[in-house]
Amino acid sequence: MNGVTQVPANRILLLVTAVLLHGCASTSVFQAYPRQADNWKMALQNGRTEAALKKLERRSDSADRLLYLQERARLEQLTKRYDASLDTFKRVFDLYEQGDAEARFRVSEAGSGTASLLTNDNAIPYSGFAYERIFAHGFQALNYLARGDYQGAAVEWRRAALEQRVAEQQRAALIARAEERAREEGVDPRRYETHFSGLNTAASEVKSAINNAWVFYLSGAFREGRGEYNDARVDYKKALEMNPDSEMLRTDVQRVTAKMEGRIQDDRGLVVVSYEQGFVPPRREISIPIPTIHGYFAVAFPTYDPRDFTTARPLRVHAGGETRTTEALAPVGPMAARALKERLPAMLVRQALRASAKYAAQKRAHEQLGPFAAFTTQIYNLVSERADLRSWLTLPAHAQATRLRLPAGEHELELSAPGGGATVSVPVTAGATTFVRAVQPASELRVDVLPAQEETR
Amino acid sequence: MRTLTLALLALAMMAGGCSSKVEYGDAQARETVTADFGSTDLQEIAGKMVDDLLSFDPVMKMTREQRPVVFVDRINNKTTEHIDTEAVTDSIQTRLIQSGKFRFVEPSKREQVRRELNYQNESGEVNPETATRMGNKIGADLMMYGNLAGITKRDDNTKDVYYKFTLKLLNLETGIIEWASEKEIRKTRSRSLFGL
Repeated sequence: MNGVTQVPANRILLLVTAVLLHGCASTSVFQAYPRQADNWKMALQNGRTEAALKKLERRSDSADRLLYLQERARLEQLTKRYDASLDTFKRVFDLYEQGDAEARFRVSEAGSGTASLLTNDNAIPYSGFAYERIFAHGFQALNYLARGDYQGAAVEWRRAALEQRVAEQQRAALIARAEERAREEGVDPRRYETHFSGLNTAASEVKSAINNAWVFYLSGAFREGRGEYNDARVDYKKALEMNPDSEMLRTDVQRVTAKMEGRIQDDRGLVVVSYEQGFVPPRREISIPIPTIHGYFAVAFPTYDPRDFTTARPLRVHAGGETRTTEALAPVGPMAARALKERLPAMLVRQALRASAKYAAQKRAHEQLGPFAAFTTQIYNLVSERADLRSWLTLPAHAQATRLRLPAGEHELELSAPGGGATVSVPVTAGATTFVRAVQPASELRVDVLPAQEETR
Repeated sequence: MRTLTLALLALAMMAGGCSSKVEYGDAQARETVTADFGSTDLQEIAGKMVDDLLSFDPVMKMTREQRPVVFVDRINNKTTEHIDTEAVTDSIQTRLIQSGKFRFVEPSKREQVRRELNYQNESGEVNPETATRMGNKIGADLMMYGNLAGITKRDDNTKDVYYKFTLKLLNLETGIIEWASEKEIRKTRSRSLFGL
């Protein structure tokens, strides 16, 4: 029995480190996620996605599988592997739903909690963000549309709306709980405000991290095309609420209201051009001194740098003598910044606990094993001090959209943006909606015309 | 010490890796794995619809002398889940055929039937005396259609789903709805406090 109690501390530490480095820890614990994500982004830019998809597939069973599956589904979709993307997004939603149903105190999570106490937040399995989940449902709707499955698309738009409602309701409770926890632990988030001024600037650009006007707009256009004017009006109005100055959205609400009341019979069809531009900026790491009972301890925090944020560039769309420019409906960067900001109080609490735990480990190493062990522990503490920079990084920087109303028949649609342009042939059905999806990760503009809806019932 | 570690390791591996097994279950047993639309919901809806339809007085009268021909339209899925509504209508259709009171046409097989009849009548390969003649199809008297609506609510601890299945039978000649019925289902999933 004596042998057990006398296992030296360094053996335990070694064991813990080995385990962390090897299996239980996620791949982002020691390699910052934005560096990994450069692989996927590069693949999208140059169109050679095979290697990136293979890498993502290998990581689809890791602790951070939710993150990798989201990236993978997006890559698959943008390279027109719609069936694969559909299946991958299904796995994404299963993971989100598992998270919803999970017991509030999980034994297995307690394990990664201790692991994260000795390393960093990256050791906690990635659980996603509401804004990512909502985008995922929007993208999945486009997968169904691309396959001509309108019932499936309709379900996904409804899911996107449901998730926005749920997230909106849960948001206040989650923030309140995190703040209460911070108070209990004696952490005052306001003390760190100055370190996060950049994050605050970025986050202040949007009113909500959850409501996604781009998703609502596409959903509205889809429902208008199915003759569900009442539902379409609700969606357009939601999009207008978030972009109150948009003349386009105001006109859309008026038109669909008139259709609802039977005041106009539409012999033209709607062509909706969605434009996903750039990549959402990655998080940056900053170091902040946190007071512990043993003195100040420098810890790493994620933040957003406003200098990484670009302004939206519109896409010009021309057809049938009409020219429109896309409107930036969902600024993804500010939404991500706001989502991060709302999680800060909880992160601060974890970091304070972690600083104490790491300092205590260092001290114990010194007392039991001498200065060399203390030095090693200190190095380990420094190396392992990494901010959680994980987020879905192949999302666009700006999700934009516009629409044209054209007579039934085939139309040539000219699209032009700085750095790229395209001309596509678009089928238009009276009263229905045709979706054109333009994606421009870097300079090349990729355009996809989704199958037109059937004639309105 | 070493044997203890080995034994522990072996135990952990046994607990982790080799614990899955396959069992046959009762297809009619109540399924409560998740709050999502499941087999029990499908069976309950089909059961209620068929019982309602066959015990409805005017329908009983209508089917006493003849077996009306029904055409099944698709059920509109208006929920937030991908539900195979055809599985529900298939169940209803099968039970109604088994009751001997109704007959059904199959619009989804028209193209294949046409191809086969064209082959029998026009290819010259089939003995004309045994070929099935064209132009003798029976038109449907009734159309069956409906909606599956759903309301989902979720908060931190519970998920509440409500489904309402509505089925109607429309007389194609008169435009009158001869029969309608609905089935409501409500399920609540609550999150446990502790788990693995």
